[in-house]
Amino acid sequence: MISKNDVTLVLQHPYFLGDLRIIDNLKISSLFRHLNNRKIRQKYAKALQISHILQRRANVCSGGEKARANILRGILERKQVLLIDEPTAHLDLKNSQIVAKLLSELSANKIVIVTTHQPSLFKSGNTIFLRIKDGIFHEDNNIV
Amino acid sequence: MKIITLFKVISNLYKRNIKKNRLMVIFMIFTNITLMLFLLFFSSSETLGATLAQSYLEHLSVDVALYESQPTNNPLINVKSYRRPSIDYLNSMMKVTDTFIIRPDYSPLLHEKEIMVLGKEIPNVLITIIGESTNEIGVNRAFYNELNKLVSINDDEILLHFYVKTTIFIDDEEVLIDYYNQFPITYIYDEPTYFSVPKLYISQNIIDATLGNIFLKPGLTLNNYLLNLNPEHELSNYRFKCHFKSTAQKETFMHIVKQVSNDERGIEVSGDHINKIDSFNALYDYLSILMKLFLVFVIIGSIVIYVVIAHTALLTILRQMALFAVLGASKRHLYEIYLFLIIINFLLSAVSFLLLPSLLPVISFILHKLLGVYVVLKLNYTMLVVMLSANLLLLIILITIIFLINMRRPLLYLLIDD
Repeated sequence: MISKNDVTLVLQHPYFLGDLRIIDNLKISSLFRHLNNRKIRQKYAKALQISHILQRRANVCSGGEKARANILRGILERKQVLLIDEPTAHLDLKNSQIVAKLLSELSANKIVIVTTHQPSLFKSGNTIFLRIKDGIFHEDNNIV
Repeated sequence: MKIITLFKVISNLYKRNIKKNRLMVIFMIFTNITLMLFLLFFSSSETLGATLAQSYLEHLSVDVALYESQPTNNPLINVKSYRRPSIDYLNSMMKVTDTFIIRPDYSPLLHEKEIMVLGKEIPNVLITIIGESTNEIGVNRAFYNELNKLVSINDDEILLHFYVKTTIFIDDEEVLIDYYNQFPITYIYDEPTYFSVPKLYISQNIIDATLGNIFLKPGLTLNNYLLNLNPEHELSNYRFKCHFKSTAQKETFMHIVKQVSNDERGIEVSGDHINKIDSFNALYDYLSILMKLFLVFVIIGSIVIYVVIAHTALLTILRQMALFAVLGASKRHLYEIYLFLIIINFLLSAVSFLLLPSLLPVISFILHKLLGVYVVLKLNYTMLVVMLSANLLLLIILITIIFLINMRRPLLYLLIDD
């Protein structure tokens, strides 16, 4: 049984408190939950290639950097379901591929639901593609 | 670590809305100062009257008369008849209050006085007999100022010429009183400036030794004559003058007076200082009503401004609140953050209460300028705590309502465009 408390929502627009460092923004969720994310943060920051921006203030980071930090924030929630709205919207191809690869890896241990306009990026063995038609989900592996 | 992150987040949100927060602090400081002034006003009522009363040199001397209500056709009109209490009656009170001096009232005779300095008559002078055992004669500042208008005087040498010329009837026999004396003025007393009239202070000792000791007939001094008059005789002025030894003794006396007096009959205690304190208290009561009304307006104004500022402060951080909700913050967490932000303003504005000790001498100075007396104001700290707590409680209630109305669905605010 999955409840809404098991779902992490990653919004398309990366909202950050601009005057705070990215790392401080990532720590905000620890105010509301007892999480110790230090190791996991380092691991996935490295995977997303944003280790170098963690100490920077959010308002000096680029859109792509913030978008990846936004995904990292969702991952750090460590919930059973990761619901991500257009994770590659602000990213170039190279970074889009990095993100898609990471999400595919994560899907080995949790459910990762992604909305995207670039389905080809997410083509891997365990991906199920769904298309919305008339408000109803239809499985459609021919999208790509 | 959590504390540091919390501090950073709160600081960020506070700075984000710094203009409104500053406005809120300024307004809260204004409200606090207004509340402090109210507090001082209401606290002063306990000490001001007492201090003012004791600032009259003759505050231990009073006139005592017995009164009885006369029935009239109109129930709204209360006519009182007066007579002097008997010495025995006053002696019986002394069993409770300890002994005090009883003397006849010289006012009817002193009405016929004439007071001259350097050939100029000083009009409308109130002769004030005080019970202190002193042989000095003084005047108040109002007398001195009046004198200064009439003649050019040297403070060291004010010689006062005192005349009393009148006739009284003793057993249908006309007796002329033609009294003259001269007294050097040895002190000028700074009486409260509130309704001050020119006064000449003469001690009871001097009256006894001079005017009271003149012989009307062989073997009959004026003092003895006035003391033994019929209680309803006009020349008795229907009263005795009583001089107390201390404030405590006077208070005991006044307590007895209150106990034995009612609408029908009782004792009336009068005196220039008593009339003035009564009128001052009436004015103070009137001011107190005005102040309470003003306080109500300040409270209503505070509510309106708190609501406006607290609401706009919340609107400014709606998207951040929504972000926190995404990050797992419950509504309770969001409420705590919002409360924390507003409480910072409350705490910053509470610093204004540190001004209170320095405000006391300022108020004392103003009162000194207005009333001419130094008043040591005592603060009612319980009332201060009540006011602060009520202010905080009001604020918490308001921001809780604002929060509940605005934060029903915090996530919706993420839809707002930049």
